Amino acid sequence: MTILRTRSTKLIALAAFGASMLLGPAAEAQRRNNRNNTNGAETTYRDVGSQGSVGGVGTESQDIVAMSDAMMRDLLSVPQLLNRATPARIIVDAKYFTNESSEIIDKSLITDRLRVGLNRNATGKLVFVGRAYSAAVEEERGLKRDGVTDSGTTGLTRAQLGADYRLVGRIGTRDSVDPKSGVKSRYSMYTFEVLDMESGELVWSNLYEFKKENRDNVVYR
Amino acid sequence: MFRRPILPMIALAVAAIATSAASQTEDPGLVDLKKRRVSEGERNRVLNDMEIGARTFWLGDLAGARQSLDDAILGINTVYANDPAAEKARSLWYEEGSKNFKGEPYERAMAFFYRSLLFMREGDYQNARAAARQGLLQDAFAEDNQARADFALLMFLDAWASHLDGNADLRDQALAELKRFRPDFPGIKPQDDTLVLVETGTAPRKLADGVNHSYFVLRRGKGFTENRARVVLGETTLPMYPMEDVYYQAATRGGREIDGVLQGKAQFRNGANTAGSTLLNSAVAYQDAAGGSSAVYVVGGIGAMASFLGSRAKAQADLRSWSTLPDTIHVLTFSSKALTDKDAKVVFLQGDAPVAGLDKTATVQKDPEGHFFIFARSR
Repeated sequence: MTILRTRSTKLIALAAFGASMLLGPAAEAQRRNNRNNTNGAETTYRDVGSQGSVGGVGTESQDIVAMSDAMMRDLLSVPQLLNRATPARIIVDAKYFTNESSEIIDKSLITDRLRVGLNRNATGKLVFVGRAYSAAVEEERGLKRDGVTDSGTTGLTRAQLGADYRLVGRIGTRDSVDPKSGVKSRYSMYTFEVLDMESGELVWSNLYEFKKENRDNVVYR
Repeated sequence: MFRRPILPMIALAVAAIATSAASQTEDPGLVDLKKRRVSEGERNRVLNDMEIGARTFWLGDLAGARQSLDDAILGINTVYANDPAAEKARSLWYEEGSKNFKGEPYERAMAFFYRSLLFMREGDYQNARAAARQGLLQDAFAEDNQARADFALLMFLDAWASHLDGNADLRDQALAELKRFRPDFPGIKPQDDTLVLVETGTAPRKLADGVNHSYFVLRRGKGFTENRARVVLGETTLPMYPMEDVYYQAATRGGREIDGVLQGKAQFRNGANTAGSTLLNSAVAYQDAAGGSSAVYVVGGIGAMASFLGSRAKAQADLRSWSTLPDTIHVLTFSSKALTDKDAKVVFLQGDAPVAGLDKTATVQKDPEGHFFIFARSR
């Protein structure tokens, strides 16, 4: 009876040892299989105004959509710009929209979206001047005037359009980092203004601001 | 009858020949790095992008460098809040090197440094400034207050980008900040439109240290003696200012949060091994003296299990590092009126004495806005 009990105890100890050797890797393998990215993920369309699964403290698509929509709505309510017998001419591009921030950004993403939105919603009450394309216009004008091409169907003008107004603005950020907790925080402020290109008067101003925080995993701190 | 897909096979063969021919003209080190980027996958993606980015930059392939450094920066800016690989690196059973590489603060800052230079070459000074500022933020993770955000090179680039952008206010702000760390730097003159940037030496090294190699120490790179540089423009020789000691930046980072986790792993490993050995030895000794009993086998089993678990705990610190970084970076700015040729000669020095065999001829590069750059490295 004693021999039997000793043998069974041996077996239990060996089984416990064996189980620890086998179950450890098995549990890890199961854990790996349970990861939600094991098999990758198909490309899916996302709403550009929604927060994506990958985010940082910088400007993201939902910020660009929200700020350009907000600025467009506000600009379309400025009487000085919209309620004129002769539609005002305006340049909306990134040239004088300066990035003084710590954020690497393609400013044209914002100004292009704003211009397109304004152009589609202003219904002829504003004339948009494509100053960024003036070289292309000048090239075509030269061809027409040199007789290389005919004059087209809209007729010749004495010169390219002069602008009454131009979008100007600035991107600024304020960053802070807590090295202990690993929290990174960024306050971003986008200032939008419309400048009278003759008098220098700022006829409209608005801003869009947000603050974001995140914290990286401890293994990266 | 089985029909062979002849056309796809021919296409594959042609593609293979084309790839092979392209590879033959590529830098062998770069080809190797690109292979590694594929074979080593996500875990080393940022590291390989850093290496490829710097290498292609110095080979003059600015588009290639931009692509690799953008990918590296994307990885650096990724926040691993619930990442399985990051969790794995914290677990007892995996070493720190199992995590996806993002680099230490000095390595992350240097990725932004090269990206800033690329933005400047493209004439995009505002994003060049932004990249320099983001690089400086990486250095803000230093534990030691005095070494935090003291990356003078990035402050200089902030100032230079603002200078080229015509923003004197921001330039002067950055120069005032720079003055705190480099009081002897002569500054940027209003008429300056040319930047010479020269790298000397080799990358800082991460060496394993401590029990179970649970942390690393940084040592200066090896195999070089040069620590100064001069630029020769026709009859004129201009000394360069040693703006940044990359090794100093690497070595003054201070302790890391992860070091505590690794020390915990090392303690577990040592404790489990000690306890396991003690239990096993006790069990053997008891069995020799009193014969086998159930208690002996249970104690022996627990001891074996403890030793086994201890042996499986991985406490090693992550020693992966950006191998192509320099030791020191030197800068010089002046008016392009001083340029006499399409090339400039760079002489590398140890103290004041030229180091034989290292002289380089660097091409004067012009950005789309009409500003000039001269880049050179000693090795």
